Amino acid sequence: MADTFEILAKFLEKFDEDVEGREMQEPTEEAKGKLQRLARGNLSDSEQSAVFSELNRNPQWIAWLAQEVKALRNA
Amino acid sequence: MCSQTSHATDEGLRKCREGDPEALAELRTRYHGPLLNILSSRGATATEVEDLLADLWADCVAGDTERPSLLEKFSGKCTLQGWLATVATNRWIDLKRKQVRRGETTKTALANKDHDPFENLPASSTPLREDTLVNLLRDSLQAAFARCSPQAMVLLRLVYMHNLSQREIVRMLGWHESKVSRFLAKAMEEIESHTLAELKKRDPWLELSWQDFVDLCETHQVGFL
Repeated sequence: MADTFEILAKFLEKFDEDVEGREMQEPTEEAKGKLQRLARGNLSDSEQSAVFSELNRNPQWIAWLAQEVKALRNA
Repeated sequence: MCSQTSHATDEGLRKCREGDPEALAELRTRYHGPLLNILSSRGATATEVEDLLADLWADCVAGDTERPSLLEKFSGKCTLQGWLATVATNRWIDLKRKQVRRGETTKTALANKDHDPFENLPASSTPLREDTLVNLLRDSLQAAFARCSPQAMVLLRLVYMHNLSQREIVRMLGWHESKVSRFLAKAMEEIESHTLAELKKRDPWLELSWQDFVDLCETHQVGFL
């Protein structure tokens, strides 16, 4: 399943005509604050829902969130 | 599915590209049966398969400088069989869509006998396009992704693209680990069913299994040409 989703997502990244330049965009300062709280498990259900919608509209921010979560591994 | 081609295959390909009749015959002997099975399983009729493969093998033979061997386009980044199957499937989808368009034109003509049906056809025949299959796969997959919840899409990306563990998702969301696992599995099942439904909606005669779909995406993703 892991491979499958990766194959599909990479296929779309390669052939989606609307993705150019996305990887260069960082989250806004306000969004960073929310993502840091999400990474630490400090968002309520309704706040999570809003953040997921925002992440889905800005998929390039997901990498930033992943880095935040990984940074907590050695904390 | 994909891997680097072996040295023996590279040598055989080089000979095929140079027009060596023995190498071309060996290529045909090795791949004709598997390609026949693949195209049949995808919904092509016996006649369509024979015609497609006859054209495919003919195009593997280099003509003059204006018409090099089709094999010149093979990048070697995926298996030769996977690549040939993708080329043949692409051509078959083009063919079927043209047939459907012709059928619709004929129906219009029967409904309006004074009208010349050929006036509805393009001025010149459209050349075979390599991107027909890519567009079909992409549009079906985009539609399926769009039907997934934002939460599902983000969690799938975090786990399978950015390698977060399910335990880390548990900590983020406050869920039980089994709920995370079930949620991800269900999201993938929905992507599969929605993608295949989108394919059927676009080209009802096409019979692609989920594994077929994923294999075709992989063939294109690693470098089709």
